[in-house]
Amino acid sequence: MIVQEFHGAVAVVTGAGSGIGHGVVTALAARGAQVVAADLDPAGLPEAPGIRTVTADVTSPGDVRRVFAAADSLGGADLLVNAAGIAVTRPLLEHTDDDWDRVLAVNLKGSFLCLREAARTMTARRRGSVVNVSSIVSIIASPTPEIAYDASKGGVSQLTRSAAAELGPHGVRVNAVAPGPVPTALYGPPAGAVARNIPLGRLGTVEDIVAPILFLCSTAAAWITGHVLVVDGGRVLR
Amino acid sequence: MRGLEGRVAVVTGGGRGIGAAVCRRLAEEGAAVAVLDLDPEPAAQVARTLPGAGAYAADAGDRAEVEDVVRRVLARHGRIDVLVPCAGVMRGAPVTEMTDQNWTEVLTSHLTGAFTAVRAVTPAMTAQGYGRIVLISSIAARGIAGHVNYGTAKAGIAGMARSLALELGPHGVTVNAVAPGFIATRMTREGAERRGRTWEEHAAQAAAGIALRRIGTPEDVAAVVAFLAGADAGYVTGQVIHVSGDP
Repeated sequence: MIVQEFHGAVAVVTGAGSGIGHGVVTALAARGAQVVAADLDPAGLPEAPGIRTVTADVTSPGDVRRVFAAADSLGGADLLVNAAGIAVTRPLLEHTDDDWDRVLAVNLKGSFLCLREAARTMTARRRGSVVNVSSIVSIIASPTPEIAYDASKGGVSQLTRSAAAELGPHGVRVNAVAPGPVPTALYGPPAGAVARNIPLGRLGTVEDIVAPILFLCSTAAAWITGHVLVVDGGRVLR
Repeated sequence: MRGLEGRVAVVTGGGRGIGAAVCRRLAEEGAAVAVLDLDPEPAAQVARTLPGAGAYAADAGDRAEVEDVVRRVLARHGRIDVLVPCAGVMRGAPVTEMTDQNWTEVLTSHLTGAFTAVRAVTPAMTAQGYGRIVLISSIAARGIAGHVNYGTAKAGIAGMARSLALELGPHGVTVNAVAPGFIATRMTREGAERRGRTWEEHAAQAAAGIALRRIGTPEDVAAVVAFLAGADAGYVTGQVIHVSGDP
């Protein structure tokens, strides 16, 4: 039996059409939350009772307002999971201005726009929990060249700490997970080679990351804020 | 939630404070808990209220006593899945006034105690190919004036978690730590007394400096320990989670 620990909660999840975001939506809905699931590409958005889908670009303030208007119609967002993200993998010298701008816009500005919109209702109601999706490449250098992505995730980790300090007095918690390598549409590593560097001996799965995100959303984490929780099988220790 | 059904946990310093809250939380989630404490009476009180629990009077810093408890737990339950070494004391003093005994007592109870417990349970965990070790560090690991012994010991705990995570990960054992902030326990109440303040003044002043504007409870910490001890944290290892209401 799945415990309905999020019964009555309203959640906004971005990047909901694939990977970690998709996993968070289905897990939250299974535990009783009403979820506004947003993605630029509606094709992969999960369809199930308790899930309202919205096609939205997180880099557009107007789209972000539309996402939160959907949450307001359900009573207002209690939870926000910023999972929308893109990556560009190519050497620094070949990174174009457009590569840099697009990656920073989706990963960092998109997280900020959603956080700001969520904070309006959360601070007014003096409750709420935000979980950003950072990455271990905010802590260690990436083995593959993806300078804009790594910088954007460094930004997401610090956005998390600074927002936690500012919103904590208003009863709002802000945390992040920093996943290690998880095979998703964003990332297709040669499995054997990468797993050798991981003390737990395997690559992560979407479920490995989703469970800690739900923990940070939950009351079990009521006194955790500004924490970037690394979920990587021990990869950063190597 | 009953995420620890069928699991067996050993908690040192389980008679009071954070240790006792950890025992209760792990038992709520279904674990059979061995409550180890130097002081037999509080350990027995905690164990009496928890189904499947047992009290064990032992000095967590004494290798022979801890190994004996581990043997008895294995004889009774056949396995040990979770270890949470919570035992430890505070003996604050300015560095020039800190005695060798102050230094040794704190380093021994926290660091040697955790190490001794880990060493004792590791053979069972690696043989099972499964284990969850959750150490108790502290935000004092970042630095704490007047408690160089405690700050040093708790920073040592973080290093212990990372080193053990690397060593035991290939055997299916995760090793993490929680770093509590200001928690209402006997230890912090004694801090108020030493400063000549009422507990209310002491707690209110601490809360004002915390982003979430309240001090923590042993239950706040126990909930995070239970997460790290359970299936949801299966891919988390070598981490120190700050449970402090503050970035």
